[in-house]
Amino acid sequence: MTAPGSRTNRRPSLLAKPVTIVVLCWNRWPLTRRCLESIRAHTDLGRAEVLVVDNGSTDETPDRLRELSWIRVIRNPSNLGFVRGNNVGIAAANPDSDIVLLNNDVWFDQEHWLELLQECSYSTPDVGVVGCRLRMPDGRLLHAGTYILPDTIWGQQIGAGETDVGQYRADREVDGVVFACAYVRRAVLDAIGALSEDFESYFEDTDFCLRAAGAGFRTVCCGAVTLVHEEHGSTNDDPRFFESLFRRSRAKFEAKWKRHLESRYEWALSWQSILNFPTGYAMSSRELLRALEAEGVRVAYRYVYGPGTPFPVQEPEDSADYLLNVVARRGLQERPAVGVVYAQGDVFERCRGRHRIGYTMLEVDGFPREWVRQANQLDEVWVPSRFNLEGLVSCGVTRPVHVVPLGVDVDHFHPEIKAVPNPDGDFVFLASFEWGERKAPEVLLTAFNRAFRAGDPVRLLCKVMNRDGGVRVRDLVEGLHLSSLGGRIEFIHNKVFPYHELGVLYRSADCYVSAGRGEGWDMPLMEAMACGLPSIATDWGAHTEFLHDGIAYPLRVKGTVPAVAKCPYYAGFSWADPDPDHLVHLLRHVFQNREEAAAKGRAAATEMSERWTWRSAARRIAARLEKADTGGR
Amino acid sequence: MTVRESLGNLAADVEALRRRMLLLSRILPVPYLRFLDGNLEELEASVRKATLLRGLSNSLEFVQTHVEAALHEVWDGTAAE
Repeated sequence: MTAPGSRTNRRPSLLAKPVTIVVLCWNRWPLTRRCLESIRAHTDLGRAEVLVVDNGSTDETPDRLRELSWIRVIRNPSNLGFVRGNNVGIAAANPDSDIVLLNNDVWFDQEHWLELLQECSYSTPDVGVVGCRLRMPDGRLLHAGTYILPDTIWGQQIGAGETDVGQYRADREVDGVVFACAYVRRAVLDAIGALSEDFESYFEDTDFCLRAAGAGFRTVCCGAVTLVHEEHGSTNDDPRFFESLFRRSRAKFEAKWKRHLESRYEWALSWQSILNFPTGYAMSSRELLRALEAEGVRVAYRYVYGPGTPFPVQEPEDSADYLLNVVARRGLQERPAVGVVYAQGDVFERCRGRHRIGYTMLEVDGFPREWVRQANQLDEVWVPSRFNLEGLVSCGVTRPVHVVPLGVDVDHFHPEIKAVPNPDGDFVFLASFEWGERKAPEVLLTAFNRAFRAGDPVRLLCKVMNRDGGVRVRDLVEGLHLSSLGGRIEFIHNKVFPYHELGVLYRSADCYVSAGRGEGWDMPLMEAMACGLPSIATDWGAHTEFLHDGIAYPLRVKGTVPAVAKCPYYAGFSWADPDPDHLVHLLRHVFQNREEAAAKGRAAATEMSERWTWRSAARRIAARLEKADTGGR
Repeated sequence: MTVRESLGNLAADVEALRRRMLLLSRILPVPYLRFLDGNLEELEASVRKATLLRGLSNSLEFVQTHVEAALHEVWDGTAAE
């Protein structure tokens, strides 16, 4: 659903079209006063009229509104509810003007909000409804658009509860936006009329957006505008009242839209994988499922591991994500048309589709015999990189092998994510890895220590994870006998961050380093590049699919060496031997050529957002399903 | 000790000092050259005392935290050693 779009910090043009801002209120004068004061402080009212619809307030609201000469007021004799109240405002507005619907429990601290919403609304002729980011008073995000699934008919707010670090700053097409703030082009109102009075309150916004879509207008969340929303500040506080209102509206919405929502799926796919563990497969599986769902692929998920598999642990049921929980509870058919096992190749044989697909990756130059045996029983095999395709073919896979790359979440990893810069102004190199042979931490630490002096304004920050009880990381680093006169190194050890905040880590550094021996994809590298960091990365492995010297600094390898590690899958294969002298050279080069490095970082961010999003990945999967004629449509 | 020997020792001391200053001038970037006016023994000792293990441990315990808090710990030098 995410579409590439402009980000913030742009200067909007002046209002080109007249706008009527309809503010609906019912009692709670302090909320209305705060809302109106923020509108007046942050809005060019030259071409914008403020029309307050008082829904029969019985407190001081009517008297206070009469004192404000710069607004127009319509007073309803009683509380008509959210929908009819807003419709009164829409009907009374200048018939040539666009409409902004605003709850009285929102307020702004941003200049040009209205110009930015209008600019977004007219960015293409088919944009019809535009919402914005909503933030809670405590600084957490509340809304960056909505989605709704036919399974549950319950609209969900994208980004709700996440710490606001600047995510979702691009303009993105969404199912709907909440009408706490909605810019509606006059053309949409002309085409479909006002809000449907089938709904007293709740669901009327999603209903309106779906009706607009039916008339050819897209709904977009404008990432450049953020307002503060004190949710439910203007509704009756009685939870029973809320629940009964919600249920009535939901039943009406279901009767009207369920079939339509179901018809948006073009493909059905069974997805056997892993979701709720801190592994690379699980993380990418979550992103792929979300993206596939948005691209019209109805996915039913089942955990592929558990007793009798190489990973015999039961999976926790809760994904802490509404969409994924729904997808996981759909239940797999006994023989679905198309089945994908996205996991290591020694569980390919658990694939249950009539058309059976194995989707895997590995960090060395070949694949274990058992993986190859199971791969040859499938209809086709997917890998994210040509590197892995060559490895499979060279090891004897005879079934068709297709490159289906992974992606990166450009809503949470982009150059405008908040940074917490080093206060001394030091240049910061960042590496993020799980301690182990494959990541070759000794190569990086010794090279950095050799490349710089202790007094240089530069440091290496290593985010290290270690789950292996047989590994004592501190002792191992001490054993490297790094010089205290050499480059300074600091560690963040075994700290678990909310995924949506990870961009802050990258944005707080100046260069990312991934100097390991082999990668199946290297998601942290891709995330860093999407955040606009110049990166130094080993020029060998799956990530060479997206790494090149136009957007990064490929690290030379001296050749390949036997992949000696605890992981049994690597036995008999090789991986890279990164050149430490070249690493020293690149570290110093980036430090001394910051403008060149920054330009590469910017180019990397652009390329990630244009070519390597999860949306692109899901589209490639849908295209592959189409070409394979799998019968899953 | 003869005068010649004294002068020789002095020359050796000066040469040793010159080498240390050259070394320090390579270690320290230009803005820090003012430290050359300071006590070299103290400066060298302070550099040697600096740890390369800040934030690191042998623990397998995982700590849930926010990125911003963890970064402030690192920048402020308050991460556990």
